[in-house]
Amino acid sequence: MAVRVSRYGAIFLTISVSLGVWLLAWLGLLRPADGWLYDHLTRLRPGISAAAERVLLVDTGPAPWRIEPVQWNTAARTLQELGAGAVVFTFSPPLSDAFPDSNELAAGLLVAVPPRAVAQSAPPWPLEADFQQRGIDTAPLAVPRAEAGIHRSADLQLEGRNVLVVAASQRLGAGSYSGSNTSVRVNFSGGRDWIPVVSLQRVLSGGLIPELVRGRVVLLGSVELSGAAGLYTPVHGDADPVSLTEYQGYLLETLLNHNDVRSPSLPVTLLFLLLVAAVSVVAYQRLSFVMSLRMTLVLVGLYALTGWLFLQFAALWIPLAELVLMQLLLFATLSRHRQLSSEDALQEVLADTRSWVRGHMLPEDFYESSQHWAQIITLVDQSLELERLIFLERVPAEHRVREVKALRCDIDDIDERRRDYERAPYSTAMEQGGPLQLHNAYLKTQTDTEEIQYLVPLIFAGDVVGFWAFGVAPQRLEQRGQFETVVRRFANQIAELLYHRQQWLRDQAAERGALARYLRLEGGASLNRLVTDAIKSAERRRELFDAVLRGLDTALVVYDLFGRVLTVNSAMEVLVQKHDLPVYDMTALDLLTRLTDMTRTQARQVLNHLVLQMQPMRMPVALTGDGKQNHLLVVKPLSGEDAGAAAFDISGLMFELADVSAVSALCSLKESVVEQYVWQMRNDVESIQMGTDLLLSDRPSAQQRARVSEIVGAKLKNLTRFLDRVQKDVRAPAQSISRDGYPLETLSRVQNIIAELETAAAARALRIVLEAPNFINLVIAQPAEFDKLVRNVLETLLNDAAADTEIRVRIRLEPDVVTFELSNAGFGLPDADLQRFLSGTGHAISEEFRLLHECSAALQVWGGEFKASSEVGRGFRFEFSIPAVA
Amino acid sequence: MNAKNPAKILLVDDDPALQELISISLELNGQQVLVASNGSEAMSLVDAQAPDLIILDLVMPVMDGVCFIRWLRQERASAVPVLIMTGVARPGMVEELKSSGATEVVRKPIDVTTFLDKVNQLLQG
Repeated sequence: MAVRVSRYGAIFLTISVSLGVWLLAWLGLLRPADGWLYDHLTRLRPGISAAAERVLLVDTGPAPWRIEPVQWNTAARTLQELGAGAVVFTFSPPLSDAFPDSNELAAGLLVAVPPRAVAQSAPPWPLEADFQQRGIDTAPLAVPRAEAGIHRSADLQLEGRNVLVVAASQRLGAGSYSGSNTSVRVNFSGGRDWIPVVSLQRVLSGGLIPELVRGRVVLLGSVELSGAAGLYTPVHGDADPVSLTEYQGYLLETLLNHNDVRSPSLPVTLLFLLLVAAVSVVAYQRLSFVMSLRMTLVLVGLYALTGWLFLQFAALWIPLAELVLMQLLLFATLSRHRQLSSEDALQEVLADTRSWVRGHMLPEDFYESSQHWAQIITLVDQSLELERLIFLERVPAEHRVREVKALRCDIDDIDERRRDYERAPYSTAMEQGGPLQLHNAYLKTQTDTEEIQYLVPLIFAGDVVGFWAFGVAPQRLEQRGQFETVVRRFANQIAELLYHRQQWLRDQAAERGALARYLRLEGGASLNRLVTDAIKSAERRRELFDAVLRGLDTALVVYDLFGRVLTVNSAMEVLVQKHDLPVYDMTALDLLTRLTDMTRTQARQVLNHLVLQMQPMRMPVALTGDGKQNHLLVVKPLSGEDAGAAAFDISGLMFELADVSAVSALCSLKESVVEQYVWQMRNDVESIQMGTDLLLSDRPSAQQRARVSEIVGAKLKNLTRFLDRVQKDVRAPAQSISRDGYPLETLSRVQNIIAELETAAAARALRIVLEAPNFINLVIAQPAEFDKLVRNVLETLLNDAAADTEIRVRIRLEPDVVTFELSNAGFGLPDADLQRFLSGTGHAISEEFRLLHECSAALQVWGGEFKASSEVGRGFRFEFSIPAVA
Repeated sequence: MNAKNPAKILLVDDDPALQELISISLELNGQQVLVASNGSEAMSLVDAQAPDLIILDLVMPVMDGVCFIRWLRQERASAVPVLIMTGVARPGMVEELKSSGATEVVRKPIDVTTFLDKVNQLLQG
């Protein structure tokens, strides 16, 4: 899901959340939470508070109507005499002559009367008019409002009149309440049992001290509930509700102390919420998820602490519920937004990565496509010249095989009962781990061709992924070892392709199993799967590149920008061992100095130039001590795909050592050919020169002139033909040289091969002695085949030679032919056996005689002859001749 | 050596055309020419005829010029002057041939006049 946020998203969020919470508060939807918070914070008093100082409660008991008027009179007079600021009855006491007994006493009384609406049906108490007639002030007693059963506030006006406690506070003159609010939130911060209570009996018995009464408003009424229903307040819960009288005491104290609990107005609340939201939105964006969570919890705690402090010490109730709700909403919203944004960004990166990786690799369905397998099977068939073949793969969770691709046969050619891979011949093939020749027909027999059938297990990474069955003509198995070796190589490749195919099919099946995914709670676009897919794709690409790097013939070593080795491929490992090149211990500078004849200063300059100019450097180098520059060193800076990468954007240096000995050999070949052609041409030119001089002279006779003319003419024709030949040979491409043959200078080639075998010969105390003219004519031969022939012959002689003997190599130059004689003093073979082996018809033919047979066949193509003889106890003698170049 | 006793020059070269041309040139110069096609034939003629000068090619079948001259100097200890005429040009070859026993080395092609001058010089000692 893409997250789209407008330019002013932060402002929008701040306003919307603040306003939303404020609206909830205004609609009263937050009242329960607000009330809960208020009640609990009210109960948390900072210590034991002093008793109320402005109000005194006189408990008249549960049945005040049983008290005689004279007792009321006595109580009222006593309280007035003790200096009470006001004596207030929270009920309507009975009137009589005994109460009040004087106008003065009456003037000091305030009596609660029921609301007019109630008074009409409130027997048997005196009517308000009665009290007024006796000169006693009255005021209605209002029952405080409840919010969810908790009486936190009280109205100050009832039926347009001040309620009892307002009237009572006004009697105190200078300390009277003069607010204009119609209701107040009662301040219960004093806690429970905060208002002092005395019993009526104590008042009547004169047990009060003046200090307890002076200046206080004395409320008379039922304080103890004694089974009557009480009022629940923030500090009085289920266990001990308070009486209405006591509640009036708290209310009166609130009014007289002017510490009613106030709350900020709605506009102020909104502004405050906006401010806090704005700061929070900024803060959350800068913090991590964990820090944001911590900040939220800390702020909520801070709000609660602030709310308590203000409530307890300033009688101010901040919009705590609103603040907490807003903070939590902001945290949730921004966290979710952050998570969605991260997922979006990650998905974008993963999509780019997957797209890039796929663009550089074979498409995944390549492994499953029919065209791909058709190409493979055709290649295998053509390479091995098979009668028919079929690739089989194991069916997952079953014991059967199924066809992947077949050529000139199909799965129906395999008997139904022989498709269980846990049985023979599959199990036998798996045990063998290689090609298994089948003696019982596996593929249904074809009557028109004779074939031998094979079953090959296809093993990749230790797992059998399938099987390959084929039929081959018997004559193809004349060289069974070689054939089976090639089959194994193909089998390894096919197994890897089959493995990738099965991987791809599994992935596809997993994609299609949506229901299963949802049941596993993995439905939808799982980020985990995307990451896993991307990593798998990148891993496959990395493996592919590793394989490419390993498979390169060119030796590679990559250095980082500081000249330290990053990677070395297999070809370089071979060179390292062969030429004792400690590349792992060398920096780029060391390697460059070692391979070239540069000094360190020169090499450093070259590397600097490379880095700055971003241009590769190429030069031939010699790895062997003979100075032959058979390798081309290429040093190039590695940069990103941006072709315009600047200096120091490079990520490393790559040293490539390409073996150009074949190219060098080709150049040397042509050089030696040209050299020989030149001296031949000089001979011809000599004849022409000499002939011309003689013709220009008047000394030769006519007969001699004629003869000289003839000779000169013939030489000129010969030279022309020769020049054509030179041109053709110099221009001959490498492919035709290796295929069709080329004029070869054989002496140096033989000398090189002898030098290569010197070490092996010396190990067995053998000497190779070469006897050859100083100049040998060119012969037409394929360079590689000639070398192979000489080497094979020498190795055969070396293997057979007795220790401390000589291998003799003699080259004879005859008019039209160059003859090579090679012999040893060794154990030998019966000559008849040797002839049989060389003809290729001998059984148990060894590799070396097979190679000699092949080489002698090539010799015949060049127009040469090959002869070999052997005698038991004396050794071998090989002689081959090749026509010389005319 | 004079007209009655012309100098005997042994020409060793496997090229028939050059054999003929050089022979004509030397005969016109008043010398007697003996011809061999390779070093092996030349050995026989040296023993049989004791030539006054040997004109030698290098690249020949059976026995090349270097092998012959080594035989001449080492086995026969002959001091007869040897003029090598060759188309082969390798660095250090002239020195190598002279150290093997060649008196003079000339590279082909060479004109008749220069050739005969060299021959006369060598015959005169």
